[in-house]
Amino acid sequence: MTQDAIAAGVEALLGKGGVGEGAGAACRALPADAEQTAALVAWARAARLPLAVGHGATIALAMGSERTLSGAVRLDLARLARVRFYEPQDLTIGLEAGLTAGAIAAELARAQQCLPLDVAGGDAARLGAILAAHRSGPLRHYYGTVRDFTIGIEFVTAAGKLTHGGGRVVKNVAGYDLMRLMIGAQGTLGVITAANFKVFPRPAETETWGWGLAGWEQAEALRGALLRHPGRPLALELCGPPLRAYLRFGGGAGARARWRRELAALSRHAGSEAEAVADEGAFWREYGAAASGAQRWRLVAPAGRGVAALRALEGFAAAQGRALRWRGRLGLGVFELELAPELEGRPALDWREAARRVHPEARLMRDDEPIETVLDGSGADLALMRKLRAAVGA
Amino acid sequence: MGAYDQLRRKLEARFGRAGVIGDPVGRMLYEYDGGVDRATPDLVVFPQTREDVIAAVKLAHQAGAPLIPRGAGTGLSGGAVAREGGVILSLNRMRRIVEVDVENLRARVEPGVVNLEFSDQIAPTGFYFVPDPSSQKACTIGGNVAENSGGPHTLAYGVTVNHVTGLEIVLADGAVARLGGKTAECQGYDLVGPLVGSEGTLAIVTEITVKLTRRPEAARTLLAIYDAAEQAAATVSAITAEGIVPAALEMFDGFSLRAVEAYIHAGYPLDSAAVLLIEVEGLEEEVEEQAAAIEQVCARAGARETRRARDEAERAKLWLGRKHAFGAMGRLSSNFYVMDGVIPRTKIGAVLAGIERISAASGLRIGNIFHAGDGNLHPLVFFDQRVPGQFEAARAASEDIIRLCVEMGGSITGEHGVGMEKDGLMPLIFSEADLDFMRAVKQVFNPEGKLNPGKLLPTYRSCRETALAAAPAGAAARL
Repeated sequence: MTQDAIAAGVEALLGKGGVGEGAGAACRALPADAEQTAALVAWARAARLPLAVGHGATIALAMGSERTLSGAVRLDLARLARVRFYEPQDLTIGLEAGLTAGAIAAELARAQQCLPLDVAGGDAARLGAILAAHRSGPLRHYYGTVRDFTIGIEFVTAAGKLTHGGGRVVKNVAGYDLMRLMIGAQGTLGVITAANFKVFPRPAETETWGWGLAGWEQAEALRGALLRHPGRPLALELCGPPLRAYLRFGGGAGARARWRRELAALSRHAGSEAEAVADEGAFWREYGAAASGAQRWRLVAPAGRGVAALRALEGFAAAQGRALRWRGRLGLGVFELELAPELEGRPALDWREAARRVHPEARLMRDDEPIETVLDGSGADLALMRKLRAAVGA
Repeated sequence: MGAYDQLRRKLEARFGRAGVIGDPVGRMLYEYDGGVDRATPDLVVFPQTREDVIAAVKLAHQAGAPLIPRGAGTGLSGGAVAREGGVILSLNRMRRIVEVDVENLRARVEPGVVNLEFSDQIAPTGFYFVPDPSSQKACTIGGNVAENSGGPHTLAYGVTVNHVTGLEIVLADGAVARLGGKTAECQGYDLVGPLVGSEGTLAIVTEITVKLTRRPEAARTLLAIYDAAEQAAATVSAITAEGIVPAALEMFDGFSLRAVEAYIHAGYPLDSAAVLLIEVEGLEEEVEEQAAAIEQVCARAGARETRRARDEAERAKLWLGRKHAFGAMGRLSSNFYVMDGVIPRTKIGAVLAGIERISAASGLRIGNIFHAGDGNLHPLVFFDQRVPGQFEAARAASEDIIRLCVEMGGSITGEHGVGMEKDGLMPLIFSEADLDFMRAVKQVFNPEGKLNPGKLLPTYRSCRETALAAAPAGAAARL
């Protein structure tokens, strides 16, 4: 099918406002709603056209892979940007995938509520991308990830069927948990068009304190002290270089005063005095900004081995003449890494192995790694995933 | 010789006579769980290790026999009942705590470990396993995984799926897979998510990696007392509107609190129309602030009085009433049916009024004790099985309640699972496309459908029947 014929076919389905420039693909399809999305997927399948799913500026995701972009239809969900329902007293909201984190925050702010979508990319990040890639940020320490607070999901299967899992209530065990399955599947099991969430009251007041750390031992000591601390902070971050840790907590005046009293003991573990972060809002907005041109990785390790894995990777990067930056969840063992210049070939394999030597479950994953690369590995779990993809995916 | 005689001999050869039940009287003990549905298994086998499970699964697979995993049998939806006969795989002898790894905030346990015993055993570490179903003294963590169990304290912390990061599973053909592990997320798809709550229809779980949660420093337990149930219901959403998420928020209607008080003497006022049992947890200063704010909300919503438990003994007594509530109800009637439905918490008042109408129309008494904070209702429908037609009437009333929940935008189950009780009701909240997707997932794990058949997913026939009977408003419950 020619590029013009593809564009004409998309326009016939979606109307004039539903077709745009392809940017590498044959054309860009902008469905107005979930039903149009389903119709488009079914049409593309019948016409044997590859379909690339993008969620706007932040993260481009492909159903299939980027290799198929040429001659493909690029599906853009930017027009799926409605709030389906919002019940502040039920603490629930239904959102379409094209909404940005900023628009969602603005909607929820009306009732002093929030969804902790503090991912890299900030307010511009689209919900669909956050779900498809299972993105999270510092607030994960307290709230968990989207997998923990998504209560319902709507998606279009590879066959073009509009499908749902979960529902609109905060507690629901009917059927298989399709929310967790679809979140992080990078669009390979279906295109997420909307999701329902339980939302949270916005903490009345929050404070952020930071420590400059002399070394990895201090990072480990601080983590250990907070592991055994009865309070539940909103965030506990480790970043560098230079090596620094940040603690964010919230609550009423009494609770925050208690945390401030605890800072002296925590500072002894950190080996330095805690310093208050003056403009919290600006600090956390800038905290997630990525360096340009660096290769981005994610490190996931058991919570108690995260610091050791980071330490090993810093040593490896230095030996390879690479600059490494990191930031992540000190209490959970999940970190975002930036490496420059990038590693390829054998050194990249050794780099992954450096993490695994610290703990067999520690994993390094490239941020832009298609899920197919992961599924190609060995193991009974990955074999099940491949079967699942074949059964329901593209 | 029948197929099950041959299988019995093979199982006895592997497990010994003490490891297999095949006689009719012994099998009768396994024909029910905590719910109302019954069916007799052909055999019961008791593996003690993963290798035992693999051996039993392979033998059942070769014989083409259905295989039904079972924990303590405390479930309430018939999940552990052998609906189509077959072999019950009783996992409650697999009760080793394999590892407690506080540094990584994880523990690995076998499926037969009892929920409360686990938290008690690890208490010296200062950590615990959050899900706390009412049956936690008896129910197993494997059963919690199968049903994605909740409990009063899951309001703030989430249900079982939020506290499990890894599973070791045995598939229908005896193959072993490890999903997830100790890390906060795994590579590839999240298969732990759909496995939790799959009611034994995807695989047999032989080991579970659970999250350990730090015990809170302090708790405040409040009892808010009302002269009108609507005021208690309105308080629930008023608390959330205030920006407070309690650790637990339970409600008793007047009938139920009087029944519980007569049995437990927990201190619930006999002349009240409803009470709320509210608990906040956290730092000492935090809970003090929250308890004070909740007292004000309750007063504004019309509470006659709000009492605080003065010490741990008073707190334990208040909770004893909740934990033993269903036992107390057993004193009122020879039979009762515990329902499980979910509604948006703003609809509690309207739904309680609807349940009263259903009670009047059916002529059956219905009590309400439930997790009000997350809108998870547990109406108790009382009946006498000896009176012809009463069981059927109780079932019909229960289905009416579920339909009401769905009409209000809710779900057919919040924590008891679908099992064989509600598989036919799944079309009330899921379309045929939704169910087809779930069937495709099941097909990957359990292609021959021999693992716990007749559970969770409706047969096509019951789908059509329910769809025809479904209220038109049912469709509104979807996204």
